[in-house]
Amino acid sequence: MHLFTHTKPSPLLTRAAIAAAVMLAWSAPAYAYLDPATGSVLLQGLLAGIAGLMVVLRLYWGRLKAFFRRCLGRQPIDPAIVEKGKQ
Amino acid sequence: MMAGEHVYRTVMPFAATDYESTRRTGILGDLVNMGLVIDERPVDRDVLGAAGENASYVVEHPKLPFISYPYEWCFHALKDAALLHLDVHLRCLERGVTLSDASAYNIQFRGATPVFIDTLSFRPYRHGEIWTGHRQFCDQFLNPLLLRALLGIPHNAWYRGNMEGIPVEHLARLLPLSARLSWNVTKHVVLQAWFEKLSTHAKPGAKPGGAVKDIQLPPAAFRAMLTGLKEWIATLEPKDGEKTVWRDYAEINSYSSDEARKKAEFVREFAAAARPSLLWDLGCNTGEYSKAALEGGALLSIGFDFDAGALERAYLRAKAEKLNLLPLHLDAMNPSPSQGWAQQERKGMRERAPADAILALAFVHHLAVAKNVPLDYVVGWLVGLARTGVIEFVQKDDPMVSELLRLRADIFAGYNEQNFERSLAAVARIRKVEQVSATGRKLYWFERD
Repeated sequence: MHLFTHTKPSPLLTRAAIAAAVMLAWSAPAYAYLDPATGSVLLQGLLAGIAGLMVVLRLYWGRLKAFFRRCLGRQPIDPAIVEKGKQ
Repeated sequence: MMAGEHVYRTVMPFAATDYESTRRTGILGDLVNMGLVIDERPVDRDVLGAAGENASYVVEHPKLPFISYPYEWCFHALKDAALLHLDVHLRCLERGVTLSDASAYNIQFRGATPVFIDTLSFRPYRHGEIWTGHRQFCDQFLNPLLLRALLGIPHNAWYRGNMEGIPVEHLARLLPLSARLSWNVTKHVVLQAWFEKLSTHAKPGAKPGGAVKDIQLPPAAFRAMLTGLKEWIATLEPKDGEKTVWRDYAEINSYSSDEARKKAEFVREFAAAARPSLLWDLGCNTGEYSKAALEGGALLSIGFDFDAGALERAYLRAKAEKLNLLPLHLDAMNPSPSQGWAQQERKGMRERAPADAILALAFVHHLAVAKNVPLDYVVGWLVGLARTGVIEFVQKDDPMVSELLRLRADIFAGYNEQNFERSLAAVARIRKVEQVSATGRKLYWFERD
């Protein structure tokens, strides 16, 4: 089954990528008083990324579900076909 | 800086803009009214004379009667301090204000209630900035709590030795695998330590990645971090709720309740006469006699004990019964020393003396018998801590002392009532003596100039 070949990048992924790029591009001023420690900063970057991912997931949850249903080959049930089968 | 009974702080020109904009939001006034932050009052620069010359502003704070440090606090006190810090920070963020650090030394206690004292760490929040205090919060609040909650080890000795707290990298090495199953532990300890290690393994000469400096934390994620920590820390308790030897003493001790009543009555009478503003209760156990002293007329009692379980009970009792009592961890054989830059930043126990009065009940034999300190040294030290107080002498054949000698040779020929009285009379006047137990325990009320 072809999942990702020959498909256009979905709007979902494009928006997520743009959001990430925007977040990385804008720098905040550094404060001299306290050294935040690189380990902590990297962790916060990860948590920000996960949080961003959660926001995107929540927004597009419905579309995400539909996407996976298509992939797994589940066709929506058509009542007309069921009736025909019973006859 | 201290000037008499006042505490003043200067706001220098480079910090003036932040000072002004945060005060304009009104957050400080609100936090003070809620009792979360210490009162701050702007005063005239002239108050400080030459010292205030270059300041943009000078502010005044009420002076607290006793200063204590995170390495002296019990588990629940540190927990309450951590929750207060997070609460203050969350409320600040609502008004576009943030805290520039997360030091545990920014919190002091009034009785058993924590209060945030560093009003100059408020500054405007810049959208997208990371939580710069996160590592410090972990080192100074979270990790010491986890040391006790996950491993059952009290934080006091380690924290006192490493004044800036328990480093993430070291705690990460100690954690059992079962602890790592928690996403909270994984985030704040394991991952943070791992990222720190990764970043220090960079090739020598390589500049710290520009991308790290540009990392953003969206406001919602910032709030989520603080809220998540708050909810998690609220659930932390000492591992196994351990019973330590002396904690149950208050319930199963070799006193009958008649004797406990006599002791309490003696202490109340003493407190009513002495009316100490500051009482030190050495060997406070669960705070029973501090409570009696407070009822009698003492204003504030600082309890000292080395038994972790007893301290937790004393602190929780002080909170529940609204007693003006702060129990602190102290091993009298090794009291807190002066520490920090030039050994002046954090005062030792001696530097915070004298008290107005002391209690030393069921205490002397711990030093004179269990720890081999000569009896007259112990008495001299106690009497040196305050002009007046109550000291209990427990005979060698009393069950509590014979317990200490169970596995040892009795080398304490000099440990007896006559020698005790002699030592005490040499350095103070004995105002009243009363026998409180059938085994011959006696309370001595002393006074000196």
